[in-house]
Parts: sequence; structure tokens; C-alpha cells
Amino acid sequence: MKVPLVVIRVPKADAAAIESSCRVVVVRSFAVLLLILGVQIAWPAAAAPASQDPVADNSSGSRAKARKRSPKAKKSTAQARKRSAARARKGSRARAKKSSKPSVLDVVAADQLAPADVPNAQEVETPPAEAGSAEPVPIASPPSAALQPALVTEPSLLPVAGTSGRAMSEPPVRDAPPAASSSRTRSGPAAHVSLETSGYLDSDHVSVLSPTVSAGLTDDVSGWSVNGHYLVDVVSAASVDIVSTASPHWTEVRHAGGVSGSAAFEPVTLGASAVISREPDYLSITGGGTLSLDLLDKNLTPYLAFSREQDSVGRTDLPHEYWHSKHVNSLQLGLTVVLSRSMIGSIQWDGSFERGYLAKPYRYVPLFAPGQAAEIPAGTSVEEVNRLRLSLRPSEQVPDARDRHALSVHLAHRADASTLRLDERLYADDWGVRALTSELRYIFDVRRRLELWPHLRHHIQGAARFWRRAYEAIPGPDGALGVPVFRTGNRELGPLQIITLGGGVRLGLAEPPGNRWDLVFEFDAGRTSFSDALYVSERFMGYSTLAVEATF
Amino acid sequence: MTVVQLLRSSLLLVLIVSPAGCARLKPYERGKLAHPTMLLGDLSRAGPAHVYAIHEGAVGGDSGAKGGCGCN
Repeated sequence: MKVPLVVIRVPKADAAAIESSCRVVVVRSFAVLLLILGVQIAWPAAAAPASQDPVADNSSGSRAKARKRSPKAKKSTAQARKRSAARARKGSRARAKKSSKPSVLDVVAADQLAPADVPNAQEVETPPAEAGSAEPVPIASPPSAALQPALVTEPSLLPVAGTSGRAMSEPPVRDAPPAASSSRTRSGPAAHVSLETSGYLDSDHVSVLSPTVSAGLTDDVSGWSVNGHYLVDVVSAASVDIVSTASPHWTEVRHAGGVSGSAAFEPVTLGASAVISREPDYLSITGGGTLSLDLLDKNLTPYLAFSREQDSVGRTDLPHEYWHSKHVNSLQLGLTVVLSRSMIGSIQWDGSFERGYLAKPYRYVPLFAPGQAAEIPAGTSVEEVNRLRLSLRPSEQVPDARDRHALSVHLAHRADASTLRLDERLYADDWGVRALTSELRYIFDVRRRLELWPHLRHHIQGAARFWRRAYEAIPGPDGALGVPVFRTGNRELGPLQIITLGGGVRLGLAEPPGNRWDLVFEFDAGRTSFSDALYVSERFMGYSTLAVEATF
Repeated sequence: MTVVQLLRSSLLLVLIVSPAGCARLKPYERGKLAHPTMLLGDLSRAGPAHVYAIHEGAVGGDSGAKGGCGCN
């Protein structure tokens, strides 16, 4: 049998018409999205499907089934009701006898429970009961009074025992409790302190040592947190860029500190942060805020973040009034979606809008005679470049505006004792740089207190439009040589590829009911290939972190 | 259509389509999602993230994801 083939011929349309159509579709779709979000916010109960209410769902379902039952079934139902009523009467008498004694709920305090018995708000499960039983089935007690408000304000967190026959007769399948989360998630405010030291070393003779201390208070139940950190970067460099300008090896110290906080006002969570970073030739002050909205029973979370960074860029030998200024406005828009019981994902757009002085004041660009650049291969040594270049050596100059965009997708999947994390980022900016970054991390629980993870990251990018491996002087009408308007020696604006391999280990030294102590060690090793740059064609780097984390 | 327009349109498209694929999980079904490694924020510490930002000519796409677990 022949299947008729329908061919739809689409008339050719010009680009403007297609773009116009796309705009209409996008605008309409956006309007629909806003409408859906508006309905969800304004009438959350109405927007929730009927199946969200197990009581209503069960009662309507029961009624429908009851109408279809046969006389025999009705008879057995009546007998079941009699048995149930008798059981309820018996239960009432038993409760009356025990009324003078404290119940299990009163006796079992959280502090007396073993760690494994302390229920997490997410892990509390109502035990199954017989259908039609009038006796409420006690649920596990909250671990402390601090958890109580959350249970009151978030009734959906716990199905109320005894109110739904279906909920009792069809007990929910509880996911395996996470090995680490039960001990990491605490009720009430928890203080955490972290001390870490990081070291960086690369084949371009740059080394960085960074001790960091951070501390904070977090109340998972009330939904607020405050955090602070302070770090010192001790940078020592004798890179090829420094050598090429005949500058001496230098060492510099950077201080950076920041505070952040967040608070939840269901369904909205607000956050704010501020960071200041100071070094002899650079001052950076950043402030920002975040907003996230929990929708569809926290299965869908759109979020928005904004930050502004104000920088002053100078040289150590220049008075501050001669420094350049730069500012960066960043906007982030994302959506987190619960995809299944074991998978969560998010999609995010980042926009970064830089204005001001975007070059490096120490960077100078070698200039070659007209027509000579093609003879300078990638990876030409400092000595060879100095031999061939013109005596004229201008400072770096790049456009004073840069709009950068990134679209990223993040996925996390939890198996019984492992987590797979995948991250993908597409990047483009108006300087012409296009990049693709992929990251994979596989975290697995070796033992109860031991996590290991391998880590792989790959980054590939193209060059900025004004990138040249070797810039040529431009001959003027009078024979004088000019310089290109835009020139850079920043290899990160050229084509490159980075592969980073690493891993980490987290060892639990102690865990609740006492204080929690963790020891974390991470190591990354990477290779960067510069396919079209002077001086170096590859760079190897190593980075490691040793941290001690404590939660009280 | 420029790259910016493409990114913008893709984002909007996914924003619109995503709710349809969203699972409606009950709190007691979130045991796995509550694991700390499932929080979609950037797993890299500040140090490595800083190194990536310096070595790569691209920014963004990290440490942004909020929510999803619905834990508290």
C-alpha cells in the first residue's frame, strides 16, 4: 500500500519577513508565558490540577467507583465499614486508657533520636494504614521545634495522616534517603566555617597562593542565610608577556572580601551580595541582587540576578587620579525545572555588558613591517619576535564596550550512590568571540563518609574580529607608519582550546549529632592550546585546593 | 538573524516549552533531589571558577541556578 506523500511548498520569503514572523511568534509566546505565570501566582490553588489534592481526588474517584459497584461489592463494603467502625471504637477505648500517658510524639524528642532516625522534612513518610480506618496514624515527629513552622506554613510538605484513604492505601514510594544530605541538612540555624588554601602553577611561570576563610549562618527551615568570605591572592609572575617587555619578575598581593545574604518569603526568595577586591593597581567593587520564584509546588523556579561591578584600573607607578575606570552590568535569567525524581535541570542566559577601559595597562603589542606578519609563525619565541619587530611598540587598545552573552544548560542526575553533573555553555560576544564549554562531573559515594569525583572540562573558542597573531604597521600617505586602531596581546582573545582533567575527594571526619567536619581536596590539571599566538603555543597548569569545613 | 537574536529566541522558546516537561513531584518524592550534589549551583569552588574565567575568553553560565529541590 502506497502512502500518499503530501508536499507543502513554502514560498520563498526574504530574511526580513522571516525575522518579522519570528518576532511575532516570540512576542506572542512570551505573552502566553506571562499569562501562565500570572495565573499561577494569582490563583495557585486553581492552577493546581485536581490530582494535586489527594483527598478530593480520592473522594471523587471513590464516588465514581461506588456507582459502578455490584450488589455483592456493596455488601462487602458494608461489612468492611462495620469492621472499621468496630476497630475505631476499640481504638478509642484504647486511647482513653492511654490518655494519662504521654504519647510517642511527646516522648521522642529530636535530641534523643539517633541520627538515622531524625526525619528530614523531605524524607518524612506517612506509614500505610488500613483503608477506612478512623484512627489517625501518627507520623514521625519533627526533629525540633524549629522545624514546626515549616510544617505549618508548608502543609504540602507532609501528607496529613488519616485524612486520605487513598494516600494511606497507596503509600508513596519514598526515594532512597541521600547518604550525605541527612547529615548536612539541619533544622534551625547552623553556622559553617571553611578554611582553605589553593595553589596555582603553570608552565608560563605564574604561581598563585590563595588562603581563604569563609563563614556563614544558614537556617534551612526559615529560609535565610548570611555568608562572608575573605581571601588573599599572592601572585608571582615571570610570564612570557613580562619577559617580552623586559620587565622584572614581580609579586603582588590581592585582598578580596565579600558578604552575601538571602531570605525566603514564600514563594519568593531574595538575595543580595557585595564584593570588594583590592590590589596595588586594581580596585573592584561589585554589588548585586537575586530573585527567584517557586512555582508549581517548587517544581519550576525561574530566577533573575543583577550585579554591577565598578573597577578602577591603573599601574602601580601611577597616582590614582590617572587610573582608568570600567564598569560591568550583568544580568542573569534562568529557569530550574524538576524533570523527574532523580533529575533536575536548568537553562540560563547570562548577559554581561562591559564599558570603559577594557585593555591591560601593562600590555604592549609587537608591531611588524607591512607584509611581514605572514612570515611570523605561531609560537615564535620572544627573542625571534624582538629581532624581527619594529622599534615601535604600542600599548594594547581594544573597544571600550563589550556585550557578552552566554546560554547554558545544566543537568544533574542522582542514582542510588552517585551523581552525574553535565554543564554546557554557548557563548558569543560582539567582539566576535564564539565559544563552547562542556563540563562533566561524576560524584560517587565510596563509603558513608567518603565521596570521590572525577572532573572533565573542555573549552574551545574562536578569535575576536581584531585578533591578529602579528600586527603590521599601516603605511600612511606621507610615508609615516601608523598603528592599527585595535590591537591586543591577550591570548584569551585568540583561538584556543583548553582541556582540564581533575578530581576531588570529600572525607567526613565527624558528623551529627555532633558538629560536622569535612576535609576536601580537589585537583585540576589543564592544557591550553593556542593555535594562533606568539611566544607560546601551549600552556600546562595545575590547581589544587585543600579545605576544612565545619558545621556547628 | 544575529547571534544575540538567536540566543534570545532560543531562551524564550525553552522558557515556554519547559513547563510542559516539568514533573509534578510531591515533597516525599524528592529524596534524591535533596542531595547536596544535586543543587545546580556551580560545584566549582571560587578558586577554580576564577581560573576558568581568566583562562577562557568566555564568561557566564555558572553558579546561577536556584531552587528546584523544593527542600525548604
